[in-house]
Amino acid sequence: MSPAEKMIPGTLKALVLKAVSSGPMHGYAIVRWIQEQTHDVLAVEEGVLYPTLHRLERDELLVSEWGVNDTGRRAKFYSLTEAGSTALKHEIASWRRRAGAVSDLLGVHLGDGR
Amino acid sequence: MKLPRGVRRLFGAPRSAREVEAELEAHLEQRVEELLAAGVEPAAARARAEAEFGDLGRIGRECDALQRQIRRRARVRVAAASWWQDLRFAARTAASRPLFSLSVVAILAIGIGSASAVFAVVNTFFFKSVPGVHEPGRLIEITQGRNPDDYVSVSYPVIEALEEDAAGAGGTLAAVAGWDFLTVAIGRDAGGEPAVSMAMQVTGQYFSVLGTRPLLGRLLEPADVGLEGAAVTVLSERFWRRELEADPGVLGSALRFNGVPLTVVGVAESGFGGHAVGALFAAWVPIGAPVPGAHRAASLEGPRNGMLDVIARLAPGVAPEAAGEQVDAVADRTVQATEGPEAEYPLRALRYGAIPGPARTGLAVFLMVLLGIVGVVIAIICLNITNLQLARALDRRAEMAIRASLGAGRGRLVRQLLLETLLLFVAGAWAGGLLAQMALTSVGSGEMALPVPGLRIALDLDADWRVVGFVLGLTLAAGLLSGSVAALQATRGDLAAGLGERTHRGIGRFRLRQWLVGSQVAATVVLLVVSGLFARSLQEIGRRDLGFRSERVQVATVDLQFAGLGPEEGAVAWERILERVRALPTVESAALAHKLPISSRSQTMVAVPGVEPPEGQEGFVLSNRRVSPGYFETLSMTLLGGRVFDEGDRADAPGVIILNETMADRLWPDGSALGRRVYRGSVESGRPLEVVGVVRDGVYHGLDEPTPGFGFLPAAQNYDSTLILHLRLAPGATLSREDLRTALMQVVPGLPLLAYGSLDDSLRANFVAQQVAAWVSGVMGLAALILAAFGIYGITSFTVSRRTREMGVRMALGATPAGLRSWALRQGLGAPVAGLAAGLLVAFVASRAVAGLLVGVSGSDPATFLGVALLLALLCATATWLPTARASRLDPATTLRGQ
Repeated sequence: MSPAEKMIPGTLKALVLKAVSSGPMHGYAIVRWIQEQTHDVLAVEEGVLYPTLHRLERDELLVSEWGVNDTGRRAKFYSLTEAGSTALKHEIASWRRRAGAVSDLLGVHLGDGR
Repeated sequence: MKLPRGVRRLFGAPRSAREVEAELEAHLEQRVEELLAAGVEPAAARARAEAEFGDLGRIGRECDALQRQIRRRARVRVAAASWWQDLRFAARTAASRPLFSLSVVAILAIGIGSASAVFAVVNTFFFKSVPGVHEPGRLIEITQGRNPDDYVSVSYPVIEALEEDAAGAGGTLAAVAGWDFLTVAIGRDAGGEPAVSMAMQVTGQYFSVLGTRPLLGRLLEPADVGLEGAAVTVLSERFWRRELEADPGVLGSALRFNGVPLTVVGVAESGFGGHAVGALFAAWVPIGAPVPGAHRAASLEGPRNGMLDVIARLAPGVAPEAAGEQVDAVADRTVQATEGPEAEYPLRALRYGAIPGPARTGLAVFLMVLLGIVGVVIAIICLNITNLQLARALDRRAEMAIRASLGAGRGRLVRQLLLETLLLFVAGAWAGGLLAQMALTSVGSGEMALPVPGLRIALDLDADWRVVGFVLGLTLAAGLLSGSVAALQATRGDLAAGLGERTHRGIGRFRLRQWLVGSQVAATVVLLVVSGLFARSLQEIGRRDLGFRSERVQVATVDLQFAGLGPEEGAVAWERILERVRALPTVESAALAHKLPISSRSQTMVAVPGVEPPEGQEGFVLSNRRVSPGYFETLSMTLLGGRVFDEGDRADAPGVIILNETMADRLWPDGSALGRRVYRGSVESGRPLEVVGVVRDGVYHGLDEPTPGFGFLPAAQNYDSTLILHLRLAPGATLSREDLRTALMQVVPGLPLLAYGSLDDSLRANFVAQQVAAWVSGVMGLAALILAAFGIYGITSFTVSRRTREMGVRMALGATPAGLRSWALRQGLGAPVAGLAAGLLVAFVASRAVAGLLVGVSGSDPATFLGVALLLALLCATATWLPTARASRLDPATTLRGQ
């Protein structure tokens, strides 16, 4: 694996919520999903991910349930709550604003209809 | 593969730790599998996976902490939901039997309401701090006299010595001040009726002692006090707002005090009216200020002139207990300097209290008695409610059994039942609080007059945190106690087994209810005995022969110093005042006296040639009153021999005195008092007084003491600038304040009238304590009686209904209705009778506590005890008879079949 870029601070929450929005996922799957979806540009550190998962569960944006992963092992699956879904929308909106501001500053045009 | 051993050891047993461990472990395993699939060696794969993960220990701990938070929140949520459910259930249950719930709430409102009202009064007098008095814990009062009951003023030279001591380093006191009352007429200018108010005259450090701050201008200072005291004054905020419309321009202007202008230099802190609770002093004047009637510093010289009460602030670090000795030492030194090394001047220091010293013990006892009465009532109410709940508990055992079978533990059931009771108690407390608020507002909103003429107080009876805390604590304690008995009983034993069979295991509960009823009766007896004692006391007060008649007598206090009259002009003025007042059409007779017929002591010492004074004394202590001619007629006092005072007893005539029976008999048991002489002070140097008359004994100071020796002196021979005018009006006539004032003004222009009212009203103020106690205990006693009646009726009905089967059997076996009745009666009466006996015993003991407040009635007054015993016996008999009479008319066949 090529060395990944450093995770952009403050975006992990949004990424996790987005990952889980399509269905229940366990921690390992979330790591892989982010890696694949960004084509290895971003890589999550487990040391940051798991505390974040638990924090989001404490704040009731996620709920967890023990289940069985595809290798047949017991794993903890996280899914989005209503509040989590709303939070995801806010995170997206916030990202748009910030990213747009930085892009304007740097004179970069973002390909995603802004 | 497990997490490193060190990490696992850290976690130990907790479930959340194991969960986190499992979660992280699952991740690692999946990574390892991936690596294995890519061809990495197992050991290397594991090592790499762990290395990639990061500091497993730290991450694990972080997640564990978060997991614990999650669990905790979940637990709280579940608990809150279960409490909320139980609360809603309790409310539903209460609402389902509205009559019961409302009556319980009403009874509780009365009980808790009275308790909180009485406590609010106790709080105001004993706990609340007086506004304007800072750090009251560091204040002491200094009085003369060794006995705890002595509250004698301290002489001015001694106060000065204490001030010097305070000025030095290492003294006991940081500041010390003397004070006294001063009745003044305060006016803006020479015309118009001035406002008659109470003011204080104080030494320079008064405000430093208290730590009061000025609202406007400045407060009095030591420089204002002296032989030529400054003509200044500080006003109270209340006076400034009421009489001067809070005009700040009054600073620097002059107000006339008894006709003399004083410059207003400041207004005291908001809410400050003096250092006693409820004090309403209008102004403060320095000692030495040139106000007629005020202390002159010059007249205060002389070590034995007791003049001022003293309040002082302790120096930092000095303990109040140590202060007494040191203060006494300073006083002795001062007095010894003028009188010799053996002279003693006993001073002692006591902690400052918001209630003036002489009233302290009496008030404390009175309020404790009230609290006791209310406490007993609340106990009765709780007993009653417990009883009622118990009765219901039996009926609800089926319901409890069902809930138990659905999985509710005993703890949960108890909690639910407790909540029901607590809900009623809280509702009752809330209602009671409202009632108390209404009662206190109507009583305490205005100013109250005290037995000292002209002195008024305004009590702040608002509830503060202490009152709220007391009510909450009382409600919770009573509710928990009361509810837990029924709750525990209702859920006892094997509930499931109770389903589907009629329970005969009621014996335990029955005994408990009997105990409750018995206790109720006992408590009611105590209450009624106390109430009866107070009622008898009031009766005795009404019947006592006071030695005078007070019907149609009006009294008014007149102070000639307001008009600036000295002794010579004053003596003439008194004569002319009497003349003028007697000429009024509605006045039958009039006289002057320096005290009311029942009042505090005025004592002097007399020596009698040929008669030995009591052991250890130099002469006879004689309580006395100075009166004008016409006094004995106006008050219808009976003369036993000799004559009354007349115009001939002038200042320049030979001295005369009239004694009461007791004094005459004490001095001359052979009855030869008339014509004898007594000497004021000593035989050698005192003024001789001839005994010209003997009057029948009366009451002079209070109803609870033996008759003292008493003497009357002619007012003309003993000048007072302040006297009380006594007027007996013609039958059916009235005399308005304005008419009297006009008449007086014709004799002495600009003379204001103080304290005009009927003698009966003044006398009644002496017995307020007994009246209030009688009223409160009477009302409570009645309530308790009703509650007890219901309690007894209830348990007897219960007995009868539960044992109808037994009664049916007895009837079938040949018992007659009469026999059955007597059997049922005996069953039902057992507890109440026991309670009656116990109650009488306790009442006997309790009556010791109230004996101090009773007049003319002993604590073990047989009439009261007998009356209460009979009343309750009758009550018990009736309340037991009714259900049994009904039950004995049963048909045995029906009752047996009805099982």
